Amino acid sequence: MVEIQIKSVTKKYGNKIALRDVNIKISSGVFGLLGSNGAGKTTLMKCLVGLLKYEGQIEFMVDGKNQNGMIKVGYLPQNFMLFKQLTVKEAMEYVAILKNIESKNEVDEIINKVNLTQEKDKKVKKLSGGMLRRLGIAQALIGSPNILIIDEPTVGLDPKERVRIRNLLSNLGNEMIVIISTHIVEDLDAIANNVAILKDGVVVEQGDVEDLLLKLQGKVGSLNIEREDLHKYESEYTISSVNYIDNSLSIRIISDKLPKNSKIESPKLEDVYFYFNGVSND
Amino acid sequence: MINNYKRLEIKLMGTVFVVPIIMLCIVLIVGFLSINSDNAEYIIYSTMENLIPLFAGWWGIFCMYELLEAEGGEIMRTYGLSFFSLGIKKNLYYFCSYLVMSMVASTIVMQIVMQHIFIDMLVQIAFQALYFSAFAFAIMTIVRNSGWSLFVLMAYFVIAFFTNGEGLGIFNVYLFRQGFSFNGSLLFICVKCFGFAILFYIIGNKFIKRN
Amino acid sequence: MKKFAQITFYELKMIIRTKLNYVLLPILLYFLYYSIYDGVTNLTLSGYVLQILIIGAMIISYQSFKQEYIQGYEELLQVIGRRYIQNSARLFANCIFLTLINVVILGITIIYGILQTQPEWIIHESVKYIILYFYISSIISIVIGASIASLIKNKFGYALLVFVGICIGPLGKGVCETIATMLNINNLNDFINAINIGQYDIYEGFNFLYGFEIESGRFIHRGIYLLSLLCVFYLIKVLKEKRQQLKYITTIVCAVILLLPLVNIARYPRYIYKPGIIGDDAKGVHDYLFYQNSKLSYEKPSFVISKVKAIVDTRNALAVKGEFFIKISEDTNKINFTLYRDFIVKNVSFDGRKLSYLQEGDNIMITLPELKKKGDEMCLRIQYEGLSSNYFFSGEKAVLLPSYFNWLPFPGKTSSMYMENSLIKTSPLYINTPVSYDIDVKCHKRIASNIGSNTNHIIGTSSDGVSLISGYLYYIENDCRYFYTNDIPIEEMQTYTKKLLKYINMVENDLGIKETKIKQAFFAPFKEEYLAMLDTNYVVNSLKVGDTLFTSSYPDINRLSDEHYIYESVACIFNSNIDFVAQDLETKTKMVSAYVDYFVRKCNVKTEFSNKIPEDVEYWIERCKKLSW
Repeated sequence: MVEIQIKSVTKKYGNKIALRDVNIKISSGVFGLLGSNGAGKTTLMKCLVGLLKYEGQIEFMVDGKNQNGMIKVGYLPQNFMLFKQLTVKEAMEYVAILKNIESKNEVDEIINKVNLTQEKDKKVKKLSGGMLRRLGIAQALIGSPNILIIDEPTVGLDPKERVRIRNLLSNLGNEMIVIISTHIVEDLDAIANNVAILKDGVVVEQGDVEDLLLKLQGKVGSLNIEREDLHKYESEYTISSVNYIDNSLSIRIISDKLPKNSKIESPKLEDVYFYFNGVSND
Repeated sequence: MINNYKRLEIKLMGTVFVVPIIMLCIVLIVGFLSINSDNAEYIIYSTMENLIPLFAGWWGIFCMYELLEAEGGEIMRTYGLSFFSLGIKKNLYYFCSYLVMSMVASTIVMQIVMQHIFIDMLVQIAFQALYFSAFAFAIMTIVRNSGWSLFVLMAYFVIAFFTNGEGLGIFNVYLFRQGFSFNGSLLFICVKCFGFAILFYIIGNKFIKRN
Repeated sequence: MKKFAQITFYELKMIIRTKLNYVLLPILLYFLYYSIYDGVTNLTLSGYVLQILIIGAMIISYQSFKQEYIQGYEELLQVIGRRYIQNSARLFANCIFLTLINVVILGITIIYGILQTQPEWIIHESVKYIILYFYISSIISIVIGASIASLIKNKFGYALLVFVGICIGPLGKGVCETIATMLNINNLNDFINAINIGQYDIYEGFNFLYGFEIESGRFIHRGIYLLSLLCVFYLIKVLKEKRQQLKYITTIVCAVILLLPLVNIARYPRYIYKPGIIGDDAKGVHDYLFYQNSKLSYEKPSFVISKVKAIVDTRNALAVKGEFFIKISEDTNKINFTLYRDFIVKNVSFDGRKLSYLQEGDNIMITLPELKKKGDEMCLRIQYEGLSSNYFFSGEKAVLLPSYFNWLPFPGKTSSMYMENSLIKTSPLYINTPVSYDIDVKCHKRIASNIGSNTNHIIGTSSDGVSLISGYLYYIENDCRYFYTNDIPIEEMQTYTKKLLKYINMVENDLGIKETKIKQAFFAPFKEEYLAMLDTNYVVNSLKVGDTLFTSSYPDINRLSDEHYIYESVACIFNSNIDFVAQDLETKTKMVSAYVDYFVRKCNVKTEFSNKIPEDVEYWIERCKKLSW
């Protein structure tokens, strides 16, 4: 069983502290890194794959033993492009060579897995956003990595494509550790087993999704208000969503102490995010 | 003097912006160094004719980089600016700026070395610079790559230099004289440069609209 | 290895599929066509083809290496790993691409050569020329482009590319040499030559004796250049890449180890052959700078050379180990020789004892151990070596050492060359007394000489010095031995010689000189002597030394009029007389003008050239006849 232990990792860019004393333990399944823009998610990912130097320790354990050199990692960065002039199959074969994979079948299998079979002879520069993202995941899968690290997997994709990617990642979570960093909570809602929430480089909360949701039991409610009263509620409570119903508003509130006439709702991961990350109503 | 917009454009260009200015400084330096040389007139004339017009094309290429080559450059087409203003007008602005600087540098050099300012030479260089500026604009709109546009510009210069212009046929605009004394071919060259510049601007304007 | 090949294959695919890379081809092919449509020998003038190939190769490589940065997958590739193989493979792929382009250039040149019915040796040499100047230079440019891309990520890389491309290319040679002249920094020229991968002289036409400038030293120089640049490239990668630094360092170490034994050979190669350049362009020329203030004077020697026995090695530069048997003609303890100044004397000895000597410019003054009396005989051993002149040379490709150029020590004190009317001229320094020669010449090719048969061991006696000429020289024997280069049609050469000799003999007769039958005629690219005394600025192409005629390549021999031949014959004879040559320009002008006019009238020949005849014509004609012939 593979496990990642991130111990007291700190990363500074000059005077700016991007990551501060981050401690996370990641075992099997899909692990989500949640946080707003600039929270430090990408920095943490880059530390994990070894692109950045950091203070602290990151250990990859297999059955309790440190196997830093032996672990295979697949990585998909946020802005992905690869070998524009090559076709999908050629680009994959190239990456396979770089990763020391002899088997040609593996490339074909992965292309099938990510559903790019029909596009395999298409040049990379001609691929749509969703296809490109799938290619990104495909190249990360070459070599049967133990850990898959994906930065913003669904950014810029249409809803259908996002669902496709999510399903793919969910399936992969059964075979390996998949770490996904995103600020789109929906992506993790359906598939993540564990999450960590980053804010300004600090892990404000982490744990099993179910446990986090339980923590928020009784703290999430909905309420219908007049439009003029929105300001008042915004200043007092964390509001995660606002829906317009005729002339009034239906707001979703997250707070330790909900307003009197609010209806208690089942918490969602998004609520967890808002609760631990603070207000973001813009 | 330079408005905000131009300042930002220059900032976008980056360090390559200074290259034509460095070239003009080199012309000045060559002028100073050749003061006591026997062949001062020839050296100065050939330096001025070889360097000054050629580098008029430099800004012509790099001012179009953001629109034509950089990732996401097509967004500029959505700002409601005409292609004329994005292309020819911008090119002419940089050309005029370069022209002013090069006229100043040329005047200083001629005054120092020859103790005389040859207006004919200034006119010649101005028209040749216009030619190169327009040529660079056209090439950049066709090729859409600053490296290869520079390559074409250099290719032009190289064959002109080595074959005394013969390799270029009708496209040659260099005179390759031995000094500043002129005969009747100046008018012809100016008309030629101007005519070709118009042609290049037309071609460039057509290609800049290409998606 | 297999992985390397596979990655190279994909990198090559990317380069081939990048359409912009083909911008280079049409321009290159047009330039190539323009350069060789008149003959593949014009490759020597193809500086612009090479320059554009250099810049183009740099841009291809630069954009290939920058691609991952621009497209944003640089970090991803760093994570995937194997950067060392990837970078090396990418470099190699770029090299393959440029190889393909060079194959096209080669193919076109060969086809053109065949269509132009060029001799096989020219086609063979042009292949080597393209490999040396085009192919290797483009590979070097690839490495430079890759290095710049690894070093500089922003657009300034293009400015650096253009700057470096110009500096190391043919364009830079002319520019940098001008700057060096202006700043009066002569050492800069050596540096420029070392970094330049273009032709040595971008304006020089083809020399049919020498062939192309493709000496082995140039190949070695470029090989070392390439190795050094590879070190630089991998060094940049060591600094920039965080992973696999050990592999990069290992490569650098291996390359440096390879370089070390070659460094000694790679000191800027000694390219001895550089053709004569005239007029204003001669400013930078080695001999012009030295002789610009010298006037010709001649101090007669105190001895006579009776025999020369020497081993002459012409394979690299000129190296002579000679025994000079001399007979003292007046009491002296000092011996003066004139030897072209670039031949540095290493050793002078007599009877096993080293003698002290002073070599200043063209003059060597040897101090004898004791006073020698008139009639004494002695044998001096002199060893010297060095590069020869720009105009006369010896080396692995060709040897052009005519007897009138003092490549062997000439008795007396004078100068090898002198300046007259802003032109540099060779003093006719050949020993005018019978000397016995036994010279063993080490040469890559067969030596043609005025003495003996055509072997490389020259044994014989001559009063006209000894000439060593070899290269792409052809030989035919008819009324005399003709040695000629490929560009001279045989019939024209023979017609010219016969006609010229007719007038030479007439002039000799008139001047009271013993008529000499020409035994050999050399038609090779000798430095042209300018009979610049006449208003016509007539160019003289021939010089007669004893029984040898030296003629530089002459186009359209058939178009020469009788008046031409008279000028040539007068020049031939007068310019080989050092007493005449040593006089001031005004005197020489009057003498020649008077004599030519007189002779033209005597032969009743139609006049084309204007000739300023001096007032006292008869006086000047007499002066001509009174010269010591």
